[in-house]
Amino acid sequence: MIKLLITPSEKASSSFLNAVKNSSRKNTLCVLCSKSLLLIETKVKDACKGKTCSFIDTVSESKEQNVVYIPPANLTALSIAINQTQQSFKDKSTIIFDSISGLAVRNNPNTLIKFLLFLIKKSTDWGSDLILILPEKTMPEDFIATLSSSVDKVEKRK
Amino acid sequence: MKNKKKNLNEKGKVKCIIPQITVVAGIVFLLHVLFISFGFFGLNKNLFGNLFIALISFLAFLSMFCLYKKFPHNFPMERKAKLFLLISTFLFFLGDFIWFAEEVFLQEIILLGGWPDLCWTLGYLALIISTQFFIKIEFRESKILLGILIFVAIILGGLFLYFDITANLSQGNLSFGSLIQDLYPIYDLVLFAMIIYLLWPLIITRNSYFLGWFWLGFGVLTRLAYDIIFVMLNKKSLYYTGHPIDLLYDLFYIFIILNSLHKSNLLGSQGIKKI
Repeated sequence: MIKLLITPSEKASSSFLNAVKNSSRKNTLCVLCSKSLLLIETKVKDACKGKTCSFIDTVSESKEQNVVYIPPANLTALSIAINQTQQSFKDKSTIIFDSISGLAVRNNPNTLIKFLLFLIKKSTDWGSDLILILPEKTMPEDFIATLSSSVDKVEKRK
Repeated sequence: MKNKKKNLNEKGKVKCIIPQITVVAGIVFLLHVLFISFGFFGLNKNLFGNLFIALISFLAFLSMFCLYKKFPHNFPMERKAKLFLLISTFLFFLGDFIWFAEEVFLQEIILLGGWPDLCWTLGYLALIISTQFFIKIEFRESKILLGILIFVAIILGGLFLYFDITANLSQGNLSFGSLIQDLYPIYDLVLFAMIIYLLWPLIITRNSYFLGWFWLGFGVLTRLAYDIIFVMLNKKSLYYTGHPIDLLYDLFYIFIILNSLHKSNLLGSQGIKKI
């Protein structure tokens, strides 16, 4: 299931934690684009209880073992890190982006949409669930329209 | 009943023996180093010199076979890439084995451009196709850089080919076999360019993901060095089985085995590991 979750900006963080907590798969890969793991570590660890969580942090480096830092402008490295983490999981997994607009700071919307469409195709191949959280009014309308037409489900939170 | 079923399932699985293959390959390589350094197998240089190479190339093929069997089915592109890598290691092994059989059992003088060269050339082709599939796995906004790198590789390889053909022509040594030999450095350079392209985005990130490509990149570099030195030595009729450059040839396979070991360790490791 590929899901786009459009949420008010102030609720993006709680939506992300809920998505981690409620993900049906045991293995979860969290891609952090707006807040570093250092800032939300306790909350995320709570949400990850009983699951195997791995993290890709695009905000800052961490000393934790299950975290890798990928600069947000390096979408190729990000695609490889996501791919390799999927391979490392024994079962199928859920990939959750805490805020896709966080990547837009260092990438133009055209590149970002290409990257997300690439990732949607790959997630379908891998049989993984993909949840993309998008804070409201952070991306142009045509970006949202293109993305909405490529996912299985669009959910708007109020 | 349940236990029986469990046992059957376990039996059906391919046992991964890549760590053991790596250890055996390390021992064979060490023996080859000792053989070349001290010549303690002086009884038959051709037999042992070729045997070590054929053994290591077989171990590289075996490690790739184990990895391919272990690789999950929900990664179709990666499986295609791994399949071509497996075909490539098989063809390299076949080339080495034919060389070994011709030189040791048939005691024939091996002509360049024969069956082993056909196997190695096809092996290179499979390796290039495999690398192309690996490139498709990554997200790339544009492939201009790859085009530039391959262009530079072909120019450099072309220059090598040009100077070698001119030298061969002036000495009256130009043959089909020498031409086939001269093409190997071009394949190596093209492969190296493709691996640099694959590796580049990962070099700046401090995680273990780049290690597999790092090993394969090193492997191709050693093969490139071997191919260039071999062409030069062979031209002066200075190459013989058991020559120290055979160790470079071994290293190509050793690095392929290390690549499979790294990948095998990654599968099922449940998450990201730092290095």
